[in-house]
Amino acid sequence: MNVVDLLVTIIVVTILVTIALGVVTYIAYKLRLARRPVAEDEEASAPHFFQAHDPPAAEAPPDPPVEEDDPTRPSRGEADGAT
Amino acid sequence: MAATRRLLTSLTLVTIMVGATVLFIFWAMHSPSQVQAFLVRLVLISLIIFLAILFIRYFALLWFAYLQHAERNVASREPEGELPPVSILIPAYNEAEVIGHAIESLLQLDYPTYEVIVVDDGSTDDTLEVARRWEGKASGVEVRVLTKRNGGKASALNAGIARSKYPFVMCMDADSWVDPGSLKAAMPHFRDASVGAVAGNVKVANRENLLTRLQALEYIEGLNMPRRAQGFIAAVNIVPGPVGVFRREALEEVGGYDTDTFAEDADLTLQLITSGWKIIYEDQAITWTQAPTRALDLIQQRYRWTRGILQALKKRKGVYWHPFPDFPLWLSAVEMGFEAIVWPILNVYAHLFFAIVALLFGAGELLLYWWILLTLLDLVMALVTVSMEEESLSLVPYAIIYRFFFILFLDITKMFATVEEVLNLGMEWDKLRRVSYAGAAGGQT
Repeated sequence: MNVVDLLVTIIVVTILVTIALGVVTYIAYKLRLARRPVAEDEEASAPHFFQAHDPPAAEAPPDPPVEEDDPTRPSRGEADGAT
Repeated sequence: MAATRRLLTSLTLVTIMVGATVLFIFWAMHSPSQVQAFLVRLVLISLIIFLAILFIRYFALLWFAYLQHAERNVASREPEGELPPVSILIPAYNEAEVIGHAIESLLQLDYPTYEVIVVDDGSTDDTLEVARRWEGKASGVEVRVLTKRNGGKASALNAGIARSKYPFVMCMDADSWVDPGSLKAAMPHFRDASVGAVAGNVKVANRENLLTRLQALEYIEGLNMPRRAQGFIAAVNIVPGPVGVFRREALEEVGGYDTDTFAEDADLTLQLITSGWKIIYEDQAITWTQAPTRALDLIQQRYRWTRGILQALKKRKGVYWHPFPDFPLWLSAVEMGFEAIVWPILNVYAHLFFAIVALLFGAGELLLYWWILLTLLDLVMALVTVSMEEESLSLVPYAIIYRFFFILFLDITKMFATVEEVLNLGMEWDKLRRVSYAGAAGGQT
């Protein structure tokens, strides 16, 4: 096998292995997402910002208030928790 | 259930795409000689078209980046007159490991008047408690800590903007830290009343393994170089999350950040361009960020970036058919669409196609010359861009495996993310793992 053939083999193998690695990693990422630990109350605690919700104007609640942090208020876990 | 359904759909997609490729190979191997000859000609034509697109893309970007670099070197970097006060926002969700480092870096800024606002987005860890340690007056700088129910990064930024008091707003990520001169370098651009935002220069801090060093090169060659080129025509299409300074008037005009995409930075930038604001790139507004150190985390980040950008583009799909009168927006949308959709798919299939043809039809020598040509091009590009950024030349040799390993590896995920976005499959904001900077400090450069 001459040098050109050797180099070509290395390039072809690298390309094919990288593509296979990319596909396998993508599948592994998806598996990790599907198998990550799920809390019992995930529905209640999951971030809700990407769920489109368009209530009728009359029923629309006001935006959640932004609170200036007050050192005297109870710890956040007790106060409102994460949603 | 939803996650399992998404996994099954993704696996089906992979099976279909891999299956189609395998079928094509078998068909090519068993087809008559006339068909094979036709395929070889098709490969040659494809190769020429691919190389032409690649060269035009590279040289156009490099030329405009060079022009911007030359212009910046001629123009005075010294700020003239009084510098306006700035509000700096750090949205934070479960960033207890890194938030302190970000705040500390802001307190070291070389800038006369600014305030720091940390917006805790309903973290479930100690982010709020850690941030509170700096609350009040720290090093003569007012630091405020707000907390709200979890609503996503865009919502946290909007909350911070609403509570900030100065006419300019700088947004940064909690896993990043700024160079002391960053703000001073960015602000003089706002002397031009039509400048709505200044995009900073994001660099990888934790260069501790092969993956993060390749990302360090990618940030310079693949992200900052296009941003520099776009900066020459004052139409940078993504003001990056880790560092961006905005004119409050511009933010108010577009209504702040929209919360309906996973790339709020790209979405806001397109909004600003639509409203006629200029977006500038400032290479001395440097922010260091923590890059994913593991392959799965990197895939997770790029998957979200790709889908987020596509979501921002989908909101403006009508613009593709109307280049005028909003030409800057059209140009930005076309470039984003090309980089996010066309180029990754083209890149993956070109590599696969040429590798298969080399195997089946003995066109190995052609493939070798193609590889040598592209690698030389990448090395030259790396040398030029690393020099422009005054970065370590030790990153340049990584260009040898940059395209054929790293970019190809990432493009596979971008391709699947594109297909998923087209099919409108659901997705979630999966938080990246953070490493405290005490542990990452060894990798800083």
